[in-house]
Amino acid sequence: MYGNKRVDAADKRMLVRRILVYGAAFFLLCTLQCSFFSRLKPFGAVPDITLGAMCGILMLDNKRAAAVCAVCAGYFIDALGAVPPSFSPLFYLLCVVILGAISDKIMPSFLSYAVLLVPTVILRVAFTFVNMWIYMKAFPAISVLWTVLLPEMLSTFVFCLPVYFVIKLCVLPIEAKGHFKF
Amino acid sequence: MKFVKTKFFIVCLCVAVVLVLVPAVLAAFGQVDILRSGLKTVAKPFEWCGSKIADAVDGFVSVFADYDELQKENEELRAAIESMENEKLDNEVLKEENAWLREYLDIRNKNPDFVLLDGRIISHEAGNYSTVLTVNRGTVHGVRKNMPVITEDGVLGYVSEVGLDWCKITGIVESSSSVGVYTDRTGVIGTVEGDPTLRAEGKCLMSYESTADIKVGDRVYTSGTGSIYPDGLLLGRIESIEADEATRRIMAVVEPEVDFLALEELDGVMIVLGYVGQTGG
Repeated sequence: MYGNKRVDAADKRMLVRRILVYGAAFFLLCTLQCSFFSRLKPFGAVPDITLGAMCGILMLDNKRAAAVCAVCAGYFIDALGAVPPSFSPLFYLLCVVILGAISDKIMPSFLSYAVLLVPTVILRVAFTFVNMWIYMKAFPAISVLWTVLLPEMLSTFVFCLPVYFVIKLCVLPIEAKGHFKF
Repeated sequence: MKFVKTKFFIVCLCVAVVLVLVPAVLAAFGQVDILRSGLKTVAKPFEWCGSKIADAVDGFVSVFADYDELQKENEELRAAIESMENEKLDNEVLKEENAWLREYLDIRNKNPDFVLLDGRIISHEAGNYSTVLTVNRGTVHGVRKNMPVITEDGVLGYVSEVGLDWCKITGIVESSSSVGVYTDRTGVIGTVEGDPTLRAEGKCLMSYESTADIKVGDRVYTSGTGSIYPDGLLLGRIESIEADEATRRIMAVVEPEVDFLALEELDGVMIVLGYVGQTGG
């Protein structure tokens, strides 16, 4: 009885620590994405590094943590850089489901993370395409492919690679895998 | 796909739907989502920092990335500056020309019976021994030898040599020049001639009857005698009265209104092609 109480207290401490660490990391990443990268537009597009961070959490932590981060980060990204209606929380949650199914089958490593980024960027450009279709209705598809979608794919892939190490740093103090319980 | 069926995921999905719908509905009704607004406020300083860092990085990278473009822009700016400088010079020339035309108009108004032709000085004397100017007007413009030349200040000289589209003007300070004059105060008649010694000072001599009443400061006008100068043109002022030791005659030194020591500053002149009462030419 006494032992169970000690475990619960440790879990709660770890949960608080996790929320603080992931909260801070996502806050910085989202801000970086909405200010630094949206200003620079490397390769001609803003990279979605938040999505890369979620891939990292999926690989280095678990789906539950990734799902919570997805909803919160989606809302935060929309708050910083989008006009309602915007569907980022739902999109990120969908990504967690799809990419989570893939990440279950691969070993957690940087190479695996890079491989996981391939479907990630495809999902990202699909979401951009859908958004453009919703907001613009008609647009030149070929031109959009060259000027928006391909640069976004490249930019997201390249700039999400270092995010893996950021998430790995975040995961270290919270002893990931198995402690994120509700 | 087991994860999708978990209670945890369903809760997350519901929260996500609420987070998508609430701002959309509030925005549709023109309301502000307080949570979004708060997040934006908190993130603002961080966004500002991010933007500044991005600007710095962009500036640093663009130095290398846009080198050719910057060089091209630099050349274009240099060309623009050069063009503006040329324009400024043109404006200055136009300004001078405008001032000259005002003077020209003034002379015309003062002498309505004169047929005037404006001319530009294209060269000054080659040496230091004569006050001869070359003007860009010649026989094709109606200029003839011995025509008087004036400026807005007064009499300058006469046309001593004329070509097709140029003429040479000899100043009244030259010893070859002789002008019939009178003084304004007492109407004393005399002759103003160039003097080899006074020429260097830009002055000339006036000879007159020794009994005549002449004072320093009297103004000297052309009398219209002779075949060159018309009557009533201001020539200069009496500067001093001296006795010529050789001839025992009283002579007055006249300081012309035209500054012969600063002819370089003179841009244009007026050639009097004709006037009422002209006897020769």
